[in-house]
Amino acid sequence: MSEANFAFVTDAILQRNLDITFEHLIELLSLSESNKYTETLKSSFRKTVIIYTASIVEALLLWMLKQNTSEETLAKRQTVFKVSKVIYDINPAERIVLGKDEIKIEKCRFEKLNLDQVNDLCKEHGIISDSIFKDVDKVRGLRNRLHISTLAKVEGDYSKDDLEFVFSVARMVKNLAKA
Amino acid sequence: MKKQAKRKQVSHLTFDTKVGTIQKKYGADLGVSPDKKIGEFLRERGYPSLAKMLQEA
Repeated sequence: MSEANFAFVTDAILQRNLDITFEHLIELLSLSESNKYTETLKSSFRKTVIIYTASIVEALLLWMLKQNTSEETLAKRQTVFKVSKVIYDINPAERIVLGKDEIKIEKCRFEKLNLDQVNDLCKEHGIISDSIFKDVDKVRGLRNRLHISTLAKVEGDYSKDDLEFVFSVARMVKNLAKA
Repeated sequence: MKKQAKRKQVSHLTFDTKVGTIQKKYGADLGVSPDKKIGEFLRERGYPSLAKMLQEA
């Protein structure tokens, strides 16, 4: 039996970082089951577990994206109209201008992509199904509760159902990456 | 003479890792026998997907 949980990941540094993260979240989750801690602290452990699990999902999706595409193929061409001269002001909201269409290449850099973008690109390139895309997006929503300034209420308990859902998505993505 | 670099401790949690390993490391009582496998512990506590991920490694 392999000693590593992500032995199929060919990037050695990523593989080790995934293993470290995975083991850490298992330890945290186990601690959240201990009566040594208050309910608030246990809920915080679970939140951290969700955040770490989402980072594993993101890393695996990005790894799959890199296996299947390149930064060059992901670059987007955008047409931008550039005004070179204002000919006539019709009113404050409208004017007649002279200009030209310019094609701008929006480069893609893997290291700059966030989970939302990685999820979109994986779906766009047929790496994941629409169903997995939607599930990963739900994981992203749970993960985004790390942005506490956006929370509308005091955080309550993260449910076991939330955690089991996030783990089920991580498992699906892991098995897809392994295939 | 160069000092030898200390080797970093590497732990590998598997499905069969005993719960006692975590209890001892953190001084936390998880309310089960320390000989219980971590995979079974997670499954019983309502995390079958995580237990399966460990098992499928």
